[in-house]
Formats: sequence, structure tokens, C-alpha cells
Amino acid sequence: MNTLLVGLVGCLLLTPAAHALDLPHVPKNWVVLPEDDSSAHLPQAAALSNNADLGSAVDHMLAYEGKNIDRFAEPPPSLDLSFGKLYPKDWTPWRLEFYIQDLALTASGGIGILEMNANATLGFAWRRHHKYPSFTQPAGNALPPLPEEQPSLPIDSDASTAEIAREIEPTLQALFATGKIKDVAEARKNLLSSVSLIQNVLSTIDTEGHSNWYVSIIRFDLTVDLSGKISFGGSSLKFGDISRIRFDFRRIARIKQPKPSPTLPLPNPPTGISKVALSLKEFIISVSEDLESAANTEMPGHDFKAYQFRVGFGATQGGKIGFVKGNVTAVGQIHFGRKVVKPPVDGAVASLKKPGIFLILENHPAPAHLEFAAKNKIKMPEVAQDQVAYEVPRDLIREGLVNALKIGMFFADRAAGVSGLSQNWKVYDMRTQLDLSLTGGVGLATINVLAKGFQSSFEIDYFNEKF
Amino acid sequence: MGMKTSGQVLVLCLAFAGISTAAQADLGPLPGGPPAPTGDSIPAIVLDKDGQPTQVSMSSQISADHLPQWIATVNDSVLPILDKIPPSRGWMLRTVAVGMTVQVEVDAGKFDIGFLPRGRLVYTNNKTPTWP
Repeated sequence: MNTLLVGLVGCLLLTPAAHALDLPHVPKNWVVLPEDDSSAHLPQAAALSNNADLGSAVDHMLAYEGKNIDRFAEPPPSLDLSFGKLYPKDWTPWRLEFYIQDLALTASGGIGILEMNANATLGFAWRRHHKYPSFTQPAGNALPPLPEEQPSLPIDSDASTAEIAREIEPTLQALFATGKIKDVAEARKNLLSSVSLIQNVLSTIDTEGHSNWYVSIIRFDLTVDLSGKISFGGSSLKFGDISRIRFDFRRIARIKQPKPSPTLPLPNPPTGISKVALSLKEFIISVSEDLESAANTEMPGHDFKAYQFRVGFGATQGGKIGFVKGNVTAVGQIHFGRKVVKPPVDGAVASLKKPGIFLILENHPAPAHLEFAAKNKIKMPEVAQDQVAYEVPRDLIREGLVNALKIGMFFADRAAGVSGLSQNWKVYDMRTQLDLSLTGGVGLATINVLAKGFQSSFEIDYFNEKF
Repeated sequence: MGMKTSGQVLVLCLAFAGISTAAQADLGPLPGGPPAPTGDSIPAIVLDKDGQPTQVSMSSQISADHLPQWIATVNDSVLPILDKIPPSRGWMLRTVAVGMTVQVEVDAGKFDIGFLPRGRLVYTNNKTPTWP
């Protein structure tokens, strides 16, 4: 990543928040989780805490930005085909497509435009909705259309062991080039085994059809140590670890071709990984079912619709998978896409409300959280030195998902309401970050968490069906 | 409250390599277009001098005056470079996200503010782009 320095003179006039209570806040129960609700440590509740006032404030921030972007005199894209026959069918000239407006929340629920280096609680993607003047690519200057979306690492459920070995080879070569791995053969065997195992797990998930929410992307972080041993997770490397490898598995429309015969035997998976894989499958199926159940409570009449849900997941030392909370070391992330054009799964909704439990994982929990769990009889089946797993009933998580969708929709509705105020731009997409409570409830992720680079438990994307 | 500006907008190019350039912006009024929104303040989340996130009220006037020009300057800097990148065999740059940052120093009062990110611009050469 390089930086581009543009010399400009710009300034903003800032007023100290001596009258902070006059500034807009979200309702306290949208941002303060029950285990953190110690009023002694929180600022006084804001004066503007009802939803009408909050809605007006959000409208104001969105409308202000929309009008500002509209004043940008956008030049038409240039058509430069000087590189000859190298353009794919879906190519267009470079253009500005989105303007992202970020909003953030303080720990007490104060909301405002994000003016610091941190991830945003709410992101609004303004997109130009007028069309550029049409242009025509000269005949013969385009490549045939790509047969499929090209993922960064094209391993899918149909890939053979030989194909997997070929795809991970560049990664291995980069690792070996460091010269720090003592047992290259062991690292190669373990990495191939781990990726193959993940692929096998994903292939079984492919056949599950209980929900309109399917796994569109699943990300795994693997860590390699000096001896070539592979372990899941890796957001915090320990002494002796060499590198973190991140694999994104994407669901792609693969064109069926004769599968080559595997040329390499599939080695036995490293100890402990099989258990993680099985737990992951159960976790994915449960989350997709509960998302289906929660999404079916959505009321009609909204311009925006939730279409993507991201969850961070981690593993206990015993190999069980759970939601991440706060600063837990995540094994990876799962993106659930929604088949938005299809109706809900009829007849299966009631049966989707299955009993059971989810685990919520937290690293180095605050004493108050442990006290809260004990006081409310929340089971902690695994308590390690630096990580605690809380047991939360699935029905409570389902309620949390319903509330998460509703909170996000509140902001999406505001974006829909102001979209007509800008001549050339509308909010096309909105993202919201949420944290999970030990009670299964949710709260909007605050700047105090996101500024530290931690992942939120959930991210929900909404898109504007009326764009 | 007094304030001085060092006069820079820092732009971060994400998922992109090979750009390093500089340009000067004309801060004169933009020709045409609707008038800038005026009068109101906007709530913002900033770091105070102790490095803690704080909610403040931000006068929007100067930002309203210049945001379109900041975007135009970034546009003028980025697009010509993107147009010159040849597609390489097997790989092609499709999306670039650029974050604008305004450098401001406030020399009195509670806040001592350095770089302030202010929106992100996403460029693409794809007919069906996605927000990265």
C-alpha cells in the first residue's frame, strides 16, 4: 500500500463537547451490553435518546453528505483501449463508483461522522445512480466472458487433492523462502492436509438446504510454526510461529469438467483438526437455520434488505466452535449470503427454531463479565487461562439476531428516506457492526472496540432494492 | 477556539500499488452545481488530546465548501494513473478504495487533533462492482 499525498488546504471547525448531552445518542440498550452496564463507569444518558431525535440526527448527517457529493462535478470516464485485446467482457473505464460515509459510536452511544482512524460502526455506500454516457467497445477488443468469478485461491468442494496441492504451492514456496521452517516436508504435508480437510467439510455443507442463507465466503487463518506444524487461528502470533496464512474459500459457479485423478495421497489430518471441522459444520448449519428464522420476522415495506451476514468464529482449546466476542483470537470469518430473490423456505420455519446451545468465546474476560455470568447462571463449560467459553441457548441468539436486523434496518430506513435528496447519488449499500452479549443480545459495536482493530461479532449488509 | 491548519489532505490507496504523486488543488468555488449546505453543525467522533474517542460538534461550513473539491482533486490524481495500468496476464486490478484524510491542528481548547479521515472513494473498472 502506498500513499498519495495531495496538497490541499482544508480545515474543520470543531466545538468541544461541553454540551455533549445535546448531541445525538443511540438508545442505551442499543450500545451497552448487559454485562457492561455499570452506570458508575458510563456517562450520563443523553438527552436525545429517543428514536425520533436519533432519526432526525442521522437524516441530517446523511442528507448533508449527499448534498455535498452532488456538488462534485464528475467528469465522464475516459475510454482508453490502448492495451489491445486484454479487456474482459465486464470491463468499463475506471470511474468513481462509491463514496463511503462512515459513522461511529462512542461507548456511551454518542453517534457522529467518523473522523479518526478506526473501523466504522455504520458504513453507507453512496453510489452514483445516473448513467455515464454509453460507450461501445470496438469489436474484437474484448476477451471472452470469464466462465466464473475468479477467487483468490480457487479451491472449491470439487477440487481434487492434486488441484489443491497445485493451488497452495505458491503459498508454500513463499513460506519456505523465509528459510525459517526446519521441516519443509512436514509443513507441506500438514498444510495440504489442513486445506483438504477444510475442503471436505465445505463439500458436506454444500448439500445442506435448510435455509436461504448459505455460506458465500469462509475465511480461515492458519498459523505455521518452526517445525512445520499448522494450527487454526492466528490473529496474534506466538513465539515460534512463523507466519499466518489466510485462505478465503468462495462459493463459485464452477463449470463441471472431468476431474483429474488425484496424484497425491491425502495425508491424515493433524491431531485435533478433525474435531474442529466437525464442530464448524454444526456451527454453520445452526447459524444458517437461525438466520432464516430471524430473517422471516422482517416486516415488508422497507427499501433495504439484509443480504449478507458475517460472523467471526473461534475455537476453544477443546476444539469446539463459537462466536467471537471482543478480542478473542478468531479462527476465521464466515460470510452468509442470502438468496434474496427466492421466497423464504416454506414449511420449515417452525422446525428451524431448534433447541440447543451456542458458545460465545472471550479472551481475557473482564472480571465483571465473569461475575455477570455467575450471577445469571450462564454456564462456562471451558475456562482456560486466557479464554472463556460461555454457553448461550440458541433461542436467545435467535432473539439477538432479530434485534440485530431491526437495529440495522432503523439506519437503513433513514438512508432510504434521504436518498431522494441527492440528484446523482443514492445510498446503495449499508453495513453495520454489532457485538454479542453473554445473554445472546446484541449491541452496536463502539469505537472503543473497533479502534483497537478487533473484529465485531457480527456484520450485516443491507442493499437498497429500490436503487 | 483558535485553529491552524497545516494544509494537507492525505489520501491512502488501499489494495493498490505503484502510486506516488502529488497535486495542487485550486480552492476557488466550483462552477455550477447546487449551493453548499450551510449553517448546521454535524456531530463527529474524534480523538481528544488524551487519545480517547470523543463526540464533538463540527462546524460543517468549510467542509461543505471544499468536500467536492477534495473529491475532484483525488479524482484528478487517481484516474489518470489507473488508466495507465496495463492488465497483466491472469491478474487485473478491478477495484481501488481511497481514503481521504484532512490534517488539522487545533491549538486551543480540549482537542489536539491530527489526521482526520473523511470519507472513502471506491474506484472500479467493473460493470458490476461490489463494495470491498
